[in-house]
Amino acid sequence: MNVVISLAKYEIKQYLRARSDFLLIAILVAGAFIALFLPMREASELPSSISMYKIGHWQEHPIIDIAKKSSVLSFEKFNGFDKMYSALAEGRLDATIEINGGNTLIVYTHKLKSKNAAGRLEQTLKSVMPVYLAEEAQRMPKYRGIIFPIALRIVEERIDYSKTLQRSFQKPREELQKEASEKKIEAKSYEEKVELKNVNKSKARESEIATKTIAEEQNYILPSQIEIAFPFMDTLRNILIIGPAVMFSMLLTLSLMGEKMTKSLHNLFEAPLKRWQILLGKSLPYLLLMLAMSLLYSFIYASGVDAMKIFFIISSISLLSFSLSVFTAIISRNYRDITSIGSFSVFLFLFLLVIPGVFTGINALAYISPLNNITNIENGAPVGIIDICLSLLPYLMMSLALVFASYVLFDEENILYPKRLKAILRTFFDRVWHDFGERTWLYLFTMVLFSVPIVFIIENLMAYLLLPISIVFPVFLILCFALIEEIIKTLPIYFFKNKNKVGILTYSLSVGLAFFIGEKAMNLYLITKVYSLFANVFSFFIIKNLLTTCAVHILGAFIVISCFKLLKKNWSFILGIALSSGLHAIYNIMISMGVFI
Amino acid sequence: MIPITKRELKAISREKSFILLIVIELLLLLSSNLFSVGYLLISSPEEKTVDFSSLVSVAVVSRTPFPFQKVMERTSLALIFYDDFARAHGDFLNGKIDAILFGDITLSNKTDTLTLYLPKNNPKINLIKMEIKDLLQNLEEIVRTDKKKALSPALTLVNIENSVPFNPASEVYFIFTLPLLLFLPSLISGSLIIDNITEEFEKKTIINLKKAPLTNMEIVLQKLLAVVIIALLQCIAWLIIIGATQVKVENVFWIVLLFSLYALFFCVLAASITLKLKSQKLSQTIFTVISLFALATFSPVISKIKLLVDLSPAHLMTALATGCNLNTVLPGFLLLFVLLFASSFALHYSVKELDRI
Repeated sequence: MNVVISLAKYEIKQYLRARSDFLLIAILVAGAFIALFLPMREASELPSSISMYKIGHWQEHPIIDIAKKSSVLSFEKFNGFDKMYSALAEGRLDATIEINGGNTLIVYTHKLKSKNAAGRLEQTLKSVMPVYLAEEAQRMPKYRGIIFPIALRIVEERIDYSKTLQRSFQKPREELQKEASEKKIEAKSYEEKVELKNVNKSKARESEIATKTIAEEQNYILPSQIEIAFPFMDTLRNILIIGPAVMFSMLLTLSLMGEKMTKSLHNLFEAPLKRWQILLGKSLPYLLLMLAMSLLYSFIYASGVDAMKIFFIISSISLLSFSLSVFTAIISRNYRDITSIGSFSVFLFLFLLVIPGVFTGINALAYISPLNNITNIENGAPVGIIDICLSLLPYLMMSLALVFASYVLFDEENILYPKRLKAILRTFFDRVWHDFGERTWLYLFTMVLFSVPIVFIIENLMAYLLLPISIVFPVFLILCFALIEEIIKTLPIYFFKNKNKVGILTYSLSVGLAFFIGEKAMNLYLITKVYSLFANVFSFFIIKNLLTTCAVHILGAFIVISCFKLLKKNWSFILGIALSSGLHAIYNIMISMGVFI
Repeated sequence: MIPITKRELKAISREKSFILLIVIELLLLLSSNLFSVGYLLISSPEEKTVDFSSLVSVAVVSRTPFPFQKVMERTSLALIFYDDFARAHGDFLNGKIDAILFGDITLSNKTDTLTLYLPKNNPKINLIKMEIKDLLQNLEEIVRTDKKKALSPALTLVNIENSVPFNPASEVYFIFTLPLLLFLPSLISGSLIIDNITEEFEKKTIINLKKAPLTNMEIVLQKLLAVVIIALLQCIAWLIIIGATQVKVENVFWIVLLFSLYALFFCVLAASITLKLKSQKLSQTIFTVISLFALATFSPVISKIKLLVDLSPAHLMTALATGCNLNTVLPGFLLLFVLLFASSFALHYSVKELDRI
């Protein structure tokens, strides 16, 4: 351990020696910390939308004067409506507005920009209505009760919402809504009143209060005054939380890559040090900094057990970012590779963690992102430790797979003389086989099990990429998923040196079972939280009839190895993959059509 | 004539990892609608780009259900009428309904008051509030119109109707997705030039390059040209794809020119930093910070400062894409020329560092 600490100290010293490096890190940490306290509860327009639309008017009206404060619209006054409409026809204006009595007339052309301008103008007028009405109420106090017919008193109560997104809970909710839509209410005018039952004394007071005016009761607010603390801002702040983890990971990648390019790692490999000691020693300072930042953030937003739960979530995300950065540095051959793979990884974080997190509290899809649990904890909602552990399982599995791959590939030959991807894969699979005591079944089982997180990432990205096609042609996505799964399953045998000696039964059982177990473990949390919300076909697909699904995986592997055994050529794998993908896709399509139900 | 450019282009085109960068931009393009909706949800949820009303159930306990019945025609929010407050309250505490509206609305000339019961510890609270606010503002409008008719027909108040079919997502396409998609390749090109130059330093291949019958500036400029060409190809490809599939983009020539200037500026700046520092880690980190600042000009952070807005790349690209008068973007172009001149000046001095090798 002393060696690891010495290496970590050396890494830190390198930063301390170069003041510019140290200063830069200090700025990054301070920047990330300050960003957390930036006010985020205000809506503001993007710079690209400022004065985007030109609106013409020829009359003066209070509501137009208020609307002029909008930054998106720029108003131009004309001396007459004929001049204004000429300007619109000539394209000098995007839309026009006239107000006659209480009616507004918005005119626009067939152009997309003009339509958008008119729409934006209407939205703006609606948003400034409360200000306009308040001015009118001040001008004509006797009409106040007409101008503001409703006032509100808000009572907030704690409720048990923990089960509200579960399927079992959605059903009675839907039934209640259905029952309500069928229930007929007889009232046909304001004067017709229905009888209320069981209104206790304190509640009966509500109707007494109902006659009071807002002037009399200061605790009351108007509907337009309901404050909405932009629901998705929590997600935005949580993105900032994972920012430092990404930055430190970047620095680690660049540090490892720098030593790789200058071949200074050679000295370390020559020293009597083990591979894991070098790897851990170099990464320890970054890892500790990430954990320290995670701990700090956790205690900013919560305290006690809740803070520790947040810490567990952020540090797991940091661990994923860290393992991804080490792996990137090891497989990259030059700086261009780092830039491409690094940028891609950042986007990966965006698609896997951030986008699903936007749906927190709204849709069960939010469960895909671990940030969902942070938002829930921040809102005081109860979140169980088992839920947290299960939600993090796919990400921890991914980290483990990446750390394992990095460790296997981290040696002098591979680091100092970088190879192409195909050669890296060949070296990797060869080494794992040797490390596992040349036990073929263990090698195949572990490799396929570790490949499941990669399938998870590729399928998620593919779902985004093929979104437009999959809406029109959903079978295409099913086909692609089947193909990806079969290709990834085949890689360990394709790159295996002794593939001729692998038994058909050993291969089929090891690969089929490993993929089946890995897939179910990765999706354990989503099975209970997300898939159970969908129709029966999906629960069937994931939970029920496990044996059939397992059999399909084993059969797929059997087809691939049989093709190779029969034809004895490398191209026979293509045939095997095509056949097994076909079988896999047909099985998935049949399930989605409800054939087995 | 330009052997180094050709060599660089060949090297980058052979780089398989470069495909990942194209995949990122493709992801951004294909999920542009998703991004547009996501952006609107974050920036202005009250615009109701996505109708979440079906996710919210509200109990109404009122002796006057008529106005609530009327507002139901305007919303898909589930209003459930209860004639028993205790039952409504029980369902609310169990999470079966999200809120309770309690109280009567009459046609008197006084303001009627309603009590709104909301959950406290629910991440859905802001969504519930957003939908209820919309419902109550519609209800307010209905009651106001009815009261005006019944009590004071002479009172004139402006009425805004939903008469324009407005799709905010198409607007976001112009103000967010398109500028970002076109701006990203210019930043990436800066990052690429850092990689290309530092690699020559660290592999010591710069010594071989210096033996070529070229001046130091020619070596650097040829390297710059390669990454600018690649960035430009990406920009043109995205413009063609966007024009063919999504929205009509105006002033294409000026957008390409603007983009080329940005790509050139970031490349020259990145090259100056790299030549001076000669360290990939430091140059790349400094350039990342510069990139973050450049991307901040796309955010509302600068919206309050008029001068910054007029000069921001996002504003210039949106203005050009929506067919603005060229005079309005002239200051932006002028600033860009000044920046380019300043960075070229810095490059002129940084190139001298090559003599010390």
